[in-house]
Amino acid sequence: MSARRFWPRRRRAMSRSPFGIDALRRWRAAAQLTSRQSRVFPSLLTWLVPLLLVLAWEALSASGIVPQRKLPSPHSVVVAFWQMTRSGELPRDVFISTLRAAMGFAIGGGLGFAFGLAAGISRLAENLFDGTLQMLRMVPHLALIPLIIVWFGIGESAKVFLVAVGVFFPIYYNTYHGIRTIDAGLLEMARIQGLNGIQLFHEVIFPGALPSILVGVRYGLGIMWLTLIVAETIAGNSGIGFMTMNAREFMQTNVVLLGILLYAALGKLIDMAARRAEQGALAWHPSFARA
Amino acid sequence: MASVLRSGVSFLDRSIGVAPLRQASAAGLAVQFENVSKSYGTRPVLQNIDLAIEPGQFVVVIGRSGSGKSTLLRLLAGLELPDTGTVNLGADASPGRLRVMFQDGRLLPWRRVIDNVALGLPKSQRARAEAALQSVGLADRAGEWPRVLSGGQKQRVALARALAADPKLILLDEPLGALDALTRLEMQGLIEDLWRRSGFTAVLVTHDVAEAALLADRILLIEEGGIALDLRVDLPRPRRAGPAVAEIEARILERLLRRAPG
Repeated sequence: MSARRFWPRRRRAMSRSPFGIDALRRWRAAAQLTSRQSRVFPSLLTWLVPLLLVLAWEALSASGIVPQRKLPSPHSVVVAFWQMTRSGELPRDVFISTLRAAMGFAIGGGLGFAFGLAAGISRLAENLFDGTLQMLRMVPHLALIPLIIVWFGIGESAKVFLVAVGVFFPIYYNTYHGIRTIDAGLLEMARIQGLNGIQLFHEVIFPGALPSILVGVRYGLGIMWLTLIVAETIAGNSGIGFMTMNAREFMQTNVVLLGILLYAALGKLIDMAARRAEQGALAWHPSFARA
Repeated sequence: MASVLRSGVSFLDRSIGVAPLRQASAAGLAVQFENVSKSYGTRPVLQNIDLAIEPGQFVVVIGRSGSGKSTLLRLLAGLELPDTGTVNLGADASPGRLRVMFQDGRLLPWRRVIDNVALGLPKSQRARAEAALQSVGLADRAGEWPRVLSGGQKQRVALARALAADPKLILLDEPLGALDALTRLEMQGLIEDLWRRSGFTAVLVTHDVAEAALLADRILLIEEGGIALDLRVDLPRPRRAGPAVAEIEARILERLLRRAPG
């Protein structure tokens, strides 16, 4: 990887972080000191810290300083992963969790997009339901769990419903907000060019709102996992959340740890996919332009 | 690049006469204002405007900031409705009869240059967008994102977009206001050139007196909501800065400064 490609990518990542431009400057100044190494081995350096941590952990476990029952060693987690994959237990739980996540996201995201679109385009729709939705948005959706158990029991629909509710609001809000912040001058120009209806939506409204919608999607993906973990941990007999809770009862802490690592891996995978989609869809945007 | 040079050259040395003489008025729209008034809130912006613009005429509307000249253009574009009176653009109501070129370009940042020019054209007429882009000398930038273009290039794309549907009336709302002096001079030449070839009616709003004298068949000076001066300019085209143009400039400036505060 050349230095030219390395720097801009880092800079974008930093400017999105809450630490701001000053942290970026300090970071760059510090990085400059070791710039030769970091340009040669940037990807190796990224993996150095986690690798050392795992090695230290394994050493502590092997020497008995950390009891296996509290924190199992890394290799026992790997063994659990291998055994449960061979037995078919793990793939089944991962599949069912992914299915729930996808269904909840599709339903909640679809509805959020539809309502956001309506409220963004039509003042009538905005007046009709935006106030109500903004109020409901303030309710932590996990507070609905007792009610949802009464309504749906502890079956599939309860979990999918909870995920859908969680995903609905960020996508609703960001779609609505994205449409409302489109440059009015562009809409005026498009109308003069003779666009309206579907064409106006396709050429101006949707692409104009897309950066904001994708922010909502990424936010919604985070909420999707969070909700699913809670829902599966509380009730159910399948899924990664159930797998970890079940393992806790039998003191299989290595399986509990495996479940946590799986969530991390799946979450990261989906975030990477979303980021890739963002780069593709927003190639025109200065913040996403490739160097 | 070649076409950029060509348009530059045709501007610098018009005596070669590259542009075929236009079929006067055939492709232009006639405009009629009858007793038009417009106010925002309690503040009157335009009062009792009566105005007839002939087909194919190049009209330059000039005035101080807040004089109502932009409102006049917005009324023409149908972006505002008059409080009283009528704005009549004739019987032709086809969607491509009128286009506007704005000061800030207003290109869609998420569409490539060529798709910006083709905006609003049916798919079958994409060749017209290509021809329009060619006519402003940017055919080789068709596949770029607008953000990589310079200010002058963006305005040329905006001009191409206005031209693509072959409109009968083009409204230009201070389209060169944000450009540097040299680019502005080039663009003035390009606009005159394309207008001479196509024959549309042009209404250009500006506060640049030199631009008015260089381009106009007719100069309208708007002051305090009314037409304070209606000046015909019968100088031969293509025009270049010279004593005749300077004299027109001086007359407008003198009229403008007469009302200067203090």
